[in-house]
Amino acid sequence: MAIIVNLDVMLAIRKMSLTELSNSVGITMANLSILKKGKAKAIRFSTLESICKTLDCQPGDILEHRPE
Amino acid sequence: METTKKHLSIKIIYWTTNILFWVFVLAAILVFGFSMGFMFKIFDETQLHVGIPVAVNVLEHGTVELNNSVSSVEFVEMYGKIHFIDMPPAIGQVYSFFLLAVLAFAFYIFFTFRKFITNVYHGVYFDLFNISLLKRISYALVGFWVFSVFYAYFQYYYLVKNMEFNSVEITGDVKTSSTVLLAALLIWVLSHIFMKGCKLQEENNYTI
Repeated sequence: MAIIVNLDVMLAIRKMSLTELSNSVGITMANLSILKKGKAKAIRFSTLESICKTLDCQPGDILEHRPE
Repeated sequence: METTKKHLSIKIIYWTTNILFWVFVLAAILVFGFSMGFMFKIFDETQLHVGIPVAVNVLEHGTVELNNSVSSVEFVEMYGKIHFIDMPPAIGQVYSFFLLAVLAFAFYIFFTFRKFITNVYHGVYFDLFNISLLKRISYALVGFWVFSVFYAYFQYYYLVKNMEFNSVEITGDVKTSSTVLLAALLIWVLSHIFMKGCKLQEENNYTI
């Protein structure tokens, strides 16, 4: 897919683990793992907002468009 | 598996299907034994009723009372069964073959439907296996319809054309029903709706 999820990069910058993000955002580890691996088909605005709030970043920091 | 609350209608269909399935299995065992009896000529003096697929012209005068007035009517056409008083064993063998074929079709359709409804009862709706089950049911119903048309024409040429009666006239119109074919079409369409549902379910599962 041309949309790349840079969640692992942002987690590394913020020095936060996936478990911590899961607890603070309220999304299961399984779902976060799907998102991190780029297997997700869609992301809700509410989820994106929660992740951005927790990681103190912009949606563009997490999602990137890379033409195939 | 989803653990959603089961709807009452699903519970009723599930339990009714299960009860009917086991009643059908018991009846099927009896019918199978009966057919085997015919096939291997164990039953010597069995009498057989066979439904004929063509209309019989009759003329019987009568009356009908509607809205406090009596009208004269005539009974002109009917469908019915014939009764073999002395059944030759060869006839029994032929009909036992058809009986076994109907039994096989009915068992397969019932068994597959039971599997489908069990999945639905357990909360598995939009699943590839369910789609495959629905398609199997629709193909089996088409097969059953083809078989029933063949059976009707077979009876016409094998039995009806050789019959002679004094007071009734047998017509040449072979009656076939397309209800089974319509049911097959409906289930086939339903399988495609389930396919769409399956794709939406997958999309929903991968929406974070």
